[in-house]
Amino acid sequence: MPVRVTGLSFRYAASPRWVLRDVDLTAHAGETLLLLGPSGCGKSTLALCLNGLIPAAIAGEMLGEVWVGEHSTRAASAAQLCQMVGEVFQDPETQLIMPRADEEVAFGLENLAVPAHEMPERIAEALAEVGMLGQRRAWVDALSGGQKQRLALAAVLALRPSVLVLDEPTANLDPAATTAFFETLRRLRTTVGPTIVLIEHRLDTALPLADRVVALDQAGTVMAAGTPQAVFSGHAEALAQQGVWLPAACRLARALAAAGRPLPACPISLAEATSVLGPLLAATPDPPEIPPAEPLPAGAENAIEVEEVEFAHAGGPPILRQVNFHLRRGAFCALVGGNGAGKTTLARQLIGLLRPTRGRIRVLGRDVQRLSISELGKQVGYVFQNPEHQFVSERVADELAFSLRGRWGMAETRRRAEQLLHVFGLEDYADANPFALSQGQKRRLSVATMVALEQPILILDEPTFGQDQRTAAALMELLRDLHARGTTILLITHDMELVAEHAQEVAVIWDGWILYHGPTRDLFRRPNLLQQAALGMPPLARLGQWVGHPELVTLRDWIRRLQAGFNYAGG
Amino acid sequence: MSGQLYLEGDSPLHRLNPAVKLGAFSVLMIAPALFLSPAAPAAFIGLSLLLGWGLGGISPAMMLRRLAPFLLLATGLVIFNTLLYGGPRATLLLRLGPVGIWAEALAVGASIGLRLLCFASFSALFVWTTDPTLLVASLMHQLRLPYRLAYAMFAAYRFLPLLRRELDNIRAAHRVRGAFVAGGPASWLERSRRYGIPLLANAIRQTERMAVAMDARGFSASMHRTSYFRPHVRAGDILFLGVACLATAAILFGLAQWGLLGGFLAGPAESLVGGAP
Repeated sequence: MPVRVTGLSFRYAASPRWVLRDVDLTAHAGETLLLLGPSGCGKSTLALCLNGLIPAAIAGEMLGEVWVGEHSTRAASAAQLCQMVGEVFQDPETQLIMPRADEEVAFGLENLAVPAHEMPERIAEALAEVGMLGQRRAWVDALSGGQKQRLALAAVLALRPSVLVLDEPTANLDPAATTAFFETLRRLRTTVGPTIVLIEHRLDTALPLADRVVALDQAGTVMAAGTPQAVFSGHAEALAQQGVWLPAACRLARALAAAGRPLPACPISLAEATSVLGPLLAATPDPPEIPPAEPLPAGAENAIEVEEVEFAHAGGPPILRQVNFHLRRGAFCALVGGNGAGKTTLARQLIGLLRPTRGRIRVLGRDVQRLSISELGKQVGYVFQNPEHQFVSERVADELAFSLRGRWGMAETRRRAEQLLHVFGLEDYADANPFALSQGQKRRLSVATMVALEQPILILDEPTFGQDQRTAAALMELLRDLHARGTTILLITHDMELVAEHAQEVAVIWDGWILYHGPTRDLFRRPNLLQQAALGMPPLARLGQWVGHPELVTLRDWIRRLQAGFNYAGG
Repeated sequence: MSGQLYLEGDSPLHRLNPAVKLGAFSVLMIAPALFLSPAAPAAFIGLSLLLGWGLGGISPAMMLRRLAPFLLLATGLVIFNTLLYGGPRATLLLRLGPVGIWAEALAVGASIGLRLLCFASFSALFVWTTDPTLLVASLMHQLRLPYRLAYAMFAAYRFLPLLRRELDNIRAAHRVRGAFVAGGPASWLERSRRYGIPLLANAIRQTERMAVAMDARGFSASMHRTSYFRPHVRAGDILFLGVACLATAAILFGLAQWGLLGGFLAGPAESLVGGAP
């Protein structure tokens, strides 16, 4: 069924702000529409309008119409709606209700009063569509994040909707599970053929599926709509300004244009980039010198030494099996690995939140066993994944004062707090409640509180999670500054693009072991290792492999190589 | 979480209708607790072990191992109550320096400890052999629990571990910030306030998301709904309930005949020692 949205505006009850303004969009039957926009632009609200929960179940004021096939969502009953439009949400933990997989799929069928004798077949069918027939009686709690999301998809598919709305379904998944989820979607498009509205910012994974793209801006209006080609080549500048992620090929083309080397055609997908860049690389001989790798910090002193560390929770299975890991002072290292590999467990040993079952950890030469958490806290800042978890007061300025107190006097504390507010772009929010800040501001505040004591080491647990392109870039800029001023940085993430662009070195953890620790560049020449660790190749590195230049990993590599190639060919 | 408590199986106890089983187990659990003697709960603990072994496929050794924390707690209760007993005493069993162990004291202590253990062993046997989904389905169908309440139970069942994890994270984050306060009631209040705000903020967000996800799949979309599982009450279930009631009466009657039952609810402690008054 096609989906047609005409003149849609919406504001939540008790809020004066219109989240969506006069949105028009169409998704034809069987088409996949990719919906983009900066965080807070109303994408998720639009998704709730598509499935009819707005206006039926969520209070607010809605203008305009949403048509699914011949039905207006205003007029359709709840039972009709969930058989027309199914939605998979972002968080796997808060959309599954029942204890077991088959019961989860049955939940929707029960709601719609499907006769009990038809259920087993429909459940099996839906589970088979997402490749989870083998987990029919599995406990939902025991499933991985990726399996939970595919189960959520099956639970929706069982109702046989003709439209699927997917709201960042892979945001919480590691690269391997993300790939598996998109593989499932790709198969569904040929077997079931629903109309799909996909909200996703990992464009390079999502684009191959997308027939058309619609981008919203921060005001909640449609700023661009059309084929991927039309949207990204025509509106790249405006999209970037709005904080929308762009496809890697598009970013490369823009960077080249900015460097005075515009490409003959603007590639959008990696496949297109291959056909544009392949001949170009072939035509320009390799520059005589290979771009030098970034020098690693030379100091021999170690910031962190982890030796033979094992860890298990009391009575639990081992989480860290035998970890050896040394980090030099001044390093910028990414700690990567699939969900559940032990990244956070290892990092928490470094600040004394967990104590190793066996082995030894030294931070700046001192054994952590002999240090209290507060003593360690003066050496190591630790930014949690959810910034809200770290807030201890009701005022932004108080958050910083809390970190600074005890170290400096009143006047100095105030001066430093003001300085930090300025550096982190929060000076206008000194009196605001930390919980009322935007996602990007919360994140910056949580980092500010953790560098207030000028700790020589900073550990960050998935700091860019849930951030849009602009706030993520601003954060990485801050980290680069801190690093340039000598802070040792350990960044936990599974965003391989972030790793490629920013980390000098990478440690890969898998199943409680360190599989790899070395220069970032070398990691991306080991596809087997990446696959084993449930990780993936960042798009530009993949592109490099496709055109036979595996040494090209980051945006900088590509620009350096292409510029050198041009110069060499030209002069 | 859920997978750890329930022991999957296909024993007669597993196959019983959960609502009927709940009724029968309640009788077995509550009846001995109404009498002060330690003999009644002891006999019923024995019965629970037999029941678990014979009908549940769980060996007594395994049951006792899994009940270990309760055994420990019960032992503590026995010791505590024996030593702190302040009622009339007549028979000195043992003197350990300044401390005398009196038969009356021991009887009261043992009675309290064994009652706890009796509750624990039947509850545990119930939880181990009852599929949570079937239990809620059975509460809905046999005991007319409203379905909205039943699904709220499911949601809570999945939600509690999330909340627990969330609290652990907040606690850890605050410790790292140096925001922990030493013990004492004042700091406890301060701590609850600090943890409470982020915990509540997230819990509200998560329950809202869960509610939206349930609505999106047609929860309460129509008045009529069907059930994937519909637990029925069979003759075997009624038989089990009947036998459980009869056995309870028989054991209690037998104990009373032997003078081992003691007073109803809280009889005089003397009645426990040395047979009938």
